[in-house]
Amino acid sequence: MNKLFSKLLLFFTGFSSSLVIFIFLLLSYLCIDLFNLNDISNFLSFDWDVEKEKFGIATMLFSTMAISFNALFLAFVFSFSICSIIFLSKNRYLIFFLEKTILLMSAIPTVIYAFAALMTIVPFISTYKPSSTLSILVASIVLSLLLIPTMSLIFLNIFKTLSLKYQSTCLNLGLSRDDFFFKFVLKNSYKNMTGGVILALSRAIGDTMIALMLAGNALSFPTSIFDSSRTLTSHIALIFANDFDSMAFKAIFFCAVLLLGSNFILIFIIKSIRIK
Amino acid sequence: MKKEYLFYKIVFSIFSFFAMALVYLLISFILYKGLSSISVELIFSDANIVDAMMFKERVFDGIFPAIIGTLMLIFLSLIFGIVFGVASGIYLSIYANTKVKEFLTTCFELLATVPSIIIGVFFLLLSIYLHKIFMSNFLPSLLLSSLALSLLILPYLVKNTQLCLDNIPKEIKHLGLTLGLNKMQNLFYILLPYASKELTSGIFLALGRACEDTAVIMLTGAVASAGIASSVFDKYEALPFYIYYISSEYSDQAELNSAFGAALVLLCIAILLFLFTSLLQKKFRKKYA
Repeated sequence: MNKLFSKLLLFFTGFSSSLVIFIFLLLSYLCIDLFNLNDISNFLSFDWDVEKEKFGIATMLFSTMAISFNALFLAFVFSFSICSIIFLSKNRYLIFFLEKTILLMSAIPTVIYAFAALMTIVPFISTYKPSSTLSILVASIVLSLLLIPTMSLIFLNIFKTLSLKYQSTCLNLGLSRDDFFFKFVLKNSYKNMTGGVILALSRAIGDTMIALMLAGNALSFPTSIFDSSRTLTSHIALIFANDFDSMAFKAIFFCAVLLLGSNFILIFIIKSIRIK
Repeated sequence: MKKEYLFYKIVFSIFSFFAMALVYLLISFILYKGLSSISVELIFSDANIVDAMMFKERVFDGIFPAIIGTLMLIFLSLIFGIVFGVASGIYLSIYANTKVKEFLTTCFELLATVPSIIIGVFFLLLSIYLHKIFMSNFLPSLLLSSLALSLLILPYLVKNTQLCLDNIPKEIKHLGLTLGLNKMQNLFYILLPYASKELTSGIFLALGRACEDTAVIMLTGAVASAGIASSVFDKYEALPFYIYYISSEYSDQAELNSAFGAALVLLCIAILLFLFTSLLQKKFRKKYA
């Protein structure tokens, strides 16, 4: 009975963990099956026009990068500031408020952020710049809110671990708490913080709803942050929702493999940082 | 008090204030608009409330079917998620040897970063192929969505279960074994009851993730108006998809108001789950203290 139970558990575990490999293999297989070299150059061009049989996804790739990195930069600034305030402040209520807010933010549905931003931030920006409604800028700002909890919780963890270990030593050596933070904690947490940033990047690349609802989904190449643009994830959502045409489908699998591959690479980078 | 860090502190404060202001602006906007537009009529339309609650009368224009759809979705994906997630967590924590553990943990870490839209695509493909080959009723449906969602929350459940069991003090872990229980009895009589609160809080956390995800259900069977699903093989309505759909297609203020109502309900569900989780966590922090 005991043995049977452990075999059963092994079966469940093996099944659920192998699914991720299966997903990757299936998507890659669909790519390889449908590909020849001619198509790859087609896919890596900047034009997407189903009628002219042009299926370039480079524009979407660029927009994904643009939105993710803008959001990542904003989120880094925000979460670093919030965590520093939590660490440096002596006001208990402020610390409680900030910590609880971060936790609360991790529970709020993305679609609510996107919907609220659609009704508030978008009209606000278009009063100052009437030509721009849905744009990379709005999507990046809202996406950064999504990334704040991911990053902040990791940063806070790093800061707390370091201070638990070394704070009393450093304070006894005559450093003030500010000195301890700026001269010791920050210098010793770069490497671990990179891990948090990369994890947030993988979340940013993978997010669909905010980009879909706020970036505008235009197919043309964006020239400024006020332009509308379409990311890989929202491209997948839009094409899958609309048609099952074969050639457009191939490009979608290519998008999916790109997304999945980039996320896997990011995870392996984090793992290698952790091992060092 | 040194002045040299004052500049940095001011900059940090400004950015923190800006971020907090933005978050609370968005939340309070939904709360304000939602509270001013929500009404019994918005939820049940012109159907009789008691009859609608008993599923005797269909609700056509209200958001009641979407609320029920979301609850059904959460419930179903929870069942699948618990079976696979908790079983895997137990295996990783108690039975697996180091090498297997490392490999499987990596797999689950990778699974955690798979974008939700790709999970949706995968299950849609699965349903297309299976539909062609043998299972003719395996179309986009409540069942397919809940399977996809359970895969999405699986890594969280696994990680949480594993952590809970790993964190049990050594003397309690080995107590049953030294008294002659086998591994399985030890697990069911001692370890799982001991860690039950932590396990529940992890499950609620995963539930929060399941109730918010839109990309997955968009591809696997949520539609704008289907009423309440009568079986798991039916298409269904869900709150997040409803909000997305209205926000992209609304034609008048009344429709927009119903989206605000739906957003309020969804926000309330998410916040309730969050509060419940933190309450449980507070309780077991006391236990360890």
